[in-house]
Amino acid sequence: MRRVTSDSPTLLQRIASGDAGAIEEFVDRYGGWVLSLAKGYVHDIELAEDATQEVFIEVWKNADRYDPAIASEATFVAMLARRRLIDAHRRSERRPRIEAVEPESVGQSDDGGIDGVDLRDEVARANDALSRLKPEQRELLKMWVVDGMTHGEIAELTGHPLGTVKSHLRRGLVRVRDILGTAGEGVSS
Amino acid sequence: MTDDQKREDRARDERYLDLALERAGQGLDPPEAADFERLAAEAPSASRREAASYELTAAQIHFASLRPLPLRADLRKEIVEDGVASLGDPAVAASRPTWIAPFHWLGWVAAAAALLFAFSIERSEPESLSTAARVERLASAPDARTLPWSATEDPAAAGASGDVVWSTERQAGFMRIRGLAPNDPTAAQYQLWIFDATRTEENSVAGAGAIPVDGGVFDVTAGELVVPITPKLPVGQPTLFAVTVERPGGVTVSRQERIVLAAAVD
Repeated sequence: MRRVTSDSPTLLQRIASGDAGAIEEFVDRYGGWVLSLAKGYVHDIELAEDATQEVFIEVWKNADRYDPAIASEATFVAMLARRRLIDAHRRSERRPRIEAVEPESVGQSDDGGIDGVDLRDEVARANDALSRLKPEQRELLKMWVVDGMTHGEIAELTGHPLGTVKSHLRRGLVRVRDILGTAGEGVSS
Repeated sequence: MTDDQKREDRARDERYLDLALERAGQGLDPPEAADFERLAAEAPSASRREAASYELTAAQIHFASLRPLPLRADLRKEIVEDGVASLGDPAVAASRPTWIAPFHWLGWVAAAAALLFAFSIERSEPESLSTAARVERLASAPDARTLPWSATEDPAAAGASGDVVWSTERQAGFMRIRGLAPNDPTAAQYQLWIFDATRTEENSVAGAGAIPVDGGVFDVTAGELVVPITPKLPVGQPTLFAVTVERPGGVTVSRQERIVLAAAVD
């Protein structure tokens, strides 16, 4: 399924076409989110700031690959940021144990502190999709995506067989995807 | 298609989607990533869409769990400066490489290693204080290495010098380059390759040891150049950094006809 998009170019599309004016707006919109994501992986704020800067370099390099028909800008940025942060931590041979900046249950957050109607909508839609899962499935997804636990760690913690954990996660992820209408076309590995 | 072939196809598809799920959550180690990419090349388009949707959905879920943090003004300024500097940078067109691993690259590993300690670098103030601060900060990372460039006999490299600062833990680095001949971006560009000892054999056509990861393309103008290194793939154990001259936009398979700089990891 491809997303319905407006005719006006997104910030990333403007950046990809050389519009320097869109850069500040883009950084103001997503900088705090990327820093929050990085802080969850590296814990130390100075390292998180370095990582944030590196994530944005990755974003600038890939701006021309962004297709609003496939994903929102927020999802695109989060995907690039997660790739880079996860890879960096795997290289350091530390499991990417993620520390929430503000402990909060996935699927239950309010909109406080979120700047911009589009982002509020993005967060609300994702949380709504998560809220439609069974509580256990939602919790498993949180452990895996947000807390950075491996399948094996989740199996050990919950007492479920490894295969059961994998199938729960996959089913939960697919359910959220289907509710959100997330496309997979055109995403390069 | 026989029943055995169908079973094999199903097994490959299941393995591919299993890896896609792992990748969406905790990422893959280099052998798994290589396996994933190999399977992706063979997977039907429906499976590739399925695999991609896992990563996108995980990103959406993760994003929704976050609360933005305030960005320091000077960090914001640096990020914006990076963005402005990237506009029009052909590095954005750099694509993921495959590589015909040439035997004579191994000679360059040895040559660069031999020159490692004989090479002296004249230090000067980098062009941007914020960039300099970033380089120094990376250089102070516990695992960071600073490796001097060895210029080859290519005419473009005459008198070239500088170094590479690299941190495997951070998966980031910088090239500092002086004296490399300016290029005409419409005719040719420089391209960085990072040879990774953890990427061997399986993807190497020649089977000649470490496989290079694309470090991106860049242009040289007059004066000292500081180029951030953001490899397209994780680099596990770098053995050699090398700069080649390639067509505009870079290449996915280098013919290594013009090698201008090399820096070996001792």
